[in-house]
Amino acid sequence: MKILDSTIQDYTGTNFSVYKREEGETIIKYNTSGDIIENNEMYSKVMLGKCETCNPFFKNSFNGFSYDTVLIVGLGLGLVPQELSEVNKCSKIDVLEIDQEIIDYNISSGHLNSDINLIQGDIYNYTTTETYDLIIIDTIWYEHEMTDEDYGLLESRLLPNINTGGALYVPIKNKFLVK
Amino acid sequence: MPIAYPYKFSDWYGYDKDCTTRTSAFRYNGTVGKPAFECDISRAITTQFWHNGSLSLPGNGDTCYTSAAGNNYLGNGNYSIAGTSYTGTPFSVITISGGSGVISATYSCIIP
Repeated sequence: MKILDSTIQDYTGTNFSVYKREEGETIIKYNTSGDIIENNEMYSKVMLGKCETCNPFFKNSFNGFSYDTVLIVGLGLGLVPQELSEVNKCSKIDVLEIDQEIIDYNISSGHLNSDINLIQGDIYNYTTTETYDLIIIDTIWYEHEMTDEDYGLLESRLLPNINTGGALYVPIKNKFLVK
Repeated sequence: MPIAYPYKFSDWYGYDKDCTTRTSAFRYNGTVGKPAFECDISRAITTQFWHNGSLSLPGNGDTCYTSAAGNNYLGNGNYSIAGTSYTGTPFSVITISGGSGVISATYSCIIP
């Protein structure tokens, strides 16, 4: 879903900036990489396989798959957790973000729903006893940014936190592992 | 210096031996996000740019420019591109890095 642009505060920080394009669309731009995420309604729709003409991998992964509790790794502007809160009405939405500045910004901006829990941590070290129907790894832009070894490590670390019938989803690597 | 007729022998040594033509293509007027998602996002792909590749669309290692001549490189970032001007989903998403318009990655939106 697209978050109302007027509710997202502009910000210039150490690690990233948030600002409006000429058309009024908000983007977050990461200072080191230059990578961006736009406040575009298709971002979460594509990731969650919610469009008929979407890449078949994304669409088919969610075909017949239901979920209610979700851990999203990587926050950005919070487009995916906001969709899970507003549209899917998920009962538990945890977001793990490595950068405290992004967490502080989102809290300060106030554009995310209050049922979204923001947690600071590195997914490669993070441990929890919580279990989820779906864990989404949304930390990379390009497939080469996560090696198969990295993915294998995450899979072995996170499988205990996935409910039976749940899934570990790394969209950029075309991974959707059902437990 | 303009060439006068009849040709002088030196004129033949003065021609531009490196001259190459650039191919025109179109992009969304702005950088875009994650290539894997961009293939499903409809945009106005109507801003013309040029490249030195041998195919109609540029690929890895090709250099992209904002003009048909000169060294006006397309800036770093991801771009949704197509061979013609239209509004819709792109043919591919290119990544430019390094600051001199060179494509470091190409994500094809054509599903085999």
